[in-house]
Amino acid sequence: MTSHVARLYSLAAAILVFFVAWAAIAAHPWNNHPAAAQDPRYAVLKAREQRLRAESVAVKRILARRWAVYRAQLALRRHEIATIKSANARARAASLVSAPAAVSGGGGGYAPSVRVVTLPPLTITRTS
Amino acid sequence: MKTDPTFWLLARASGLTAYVLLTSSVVAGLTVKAKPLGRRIKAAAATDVHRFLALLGLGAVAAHGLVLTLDQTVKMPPVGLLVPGLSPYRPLAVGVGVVAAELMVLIYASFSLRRRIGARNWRRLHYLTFGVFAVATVHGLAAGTDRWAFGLYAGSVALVAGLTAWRILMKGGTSDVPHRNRPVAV
Amino acid sequence: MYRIEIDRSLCSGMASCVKIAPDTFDLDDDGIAIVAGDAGEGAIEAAECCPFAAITVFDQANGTRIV
Repeated sequence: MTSHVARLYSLAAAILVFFVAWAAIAAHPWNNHPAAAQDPRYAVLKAREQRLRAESVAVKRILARRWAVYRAQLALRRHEIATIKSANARARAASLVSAPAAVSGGGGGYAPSVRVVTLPPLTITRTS
Repeated sequence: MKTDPTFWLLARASGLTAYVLLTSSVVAGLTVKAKPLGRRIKAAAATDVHRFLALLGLGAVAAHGLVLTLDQTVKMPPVGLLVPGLSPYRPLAVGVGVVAAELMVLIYASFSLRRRIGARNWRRLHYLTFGVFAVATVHGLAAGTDRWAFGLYAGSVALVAGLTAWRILMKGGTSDVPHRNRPVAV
Repeated sequence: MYRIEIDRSLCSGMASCVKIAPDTFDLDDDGIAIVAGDAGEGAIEAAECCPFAAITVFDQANGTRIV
């Protein structure tokens, strides 16, 4: 009495077992050849890999420290610039109030002074 | 420079699959009469599954052997699949596997020939399946490179041994059936 | 009350039927099952437990197939 359903399930299970076995075996590469484990080049490679890993950790630490120092100095410098700029602006405003003729040269001499005037129109337009 | 290990991996995968299928077939065969799950499994369905699993196992064994001849590292000669001991890699362990495979083919074919050899002889021959299972286990442990699969072998042996013990205990210790000419104990 | 038929080409001498209903079934010299006695209720269980489905049970009165 052939049980077709059971046969199909058996076939599916067999195929599944095969692929799971293949995946599990492929995931254990150190079992491929017993000779590979005793290869001296393999030991050298492993040691080098560990050294490189330790090095990269040390390098990361040093870099992080230097970056922190740089960022602190940058913040300080920016603060300096902002302070000077605000001082210049205040000086210019003070000179404008005292001398409305707006002659340049007020303040620290860093920024040129500006005079706003209303000029006559360049063109005259007439409709139609 | 390592050569492509694909055939090596496939050989190991197909070998493990064949062992799992063989174990499943033996378990199914024991279930036909031992019935550990009671009446839920029909005897005729269990027999059909038992035969089908054996056939699938044979297919996996055939794939296992074929792929091994294709692998360039082991360099198994095709005739080494038929004659035990000709493998250049672990000849004894592989030869044991060849023996197991050939016995498996023999036993599978014997079912079609049971008319010719007689039902009683066929049943006696069929007990050889336990031998096939044992030899296949030895081959897997000795020739295989997947030591991590040891748990699989241990579990399979435990399962088969357990079910066999159940069957022997269930039958009351006798493996012979009463025959008209033989005195039947009442 | 039951009529039993055994398909000799399917039987392999497993003797599950003999174990279940020893009054009804037995093995002949070739190791194939034969009907050796009256068919009781055990015949139905034996037919269901035959590993090769070689036993067919009919109702003797109206001939319908039971197993």
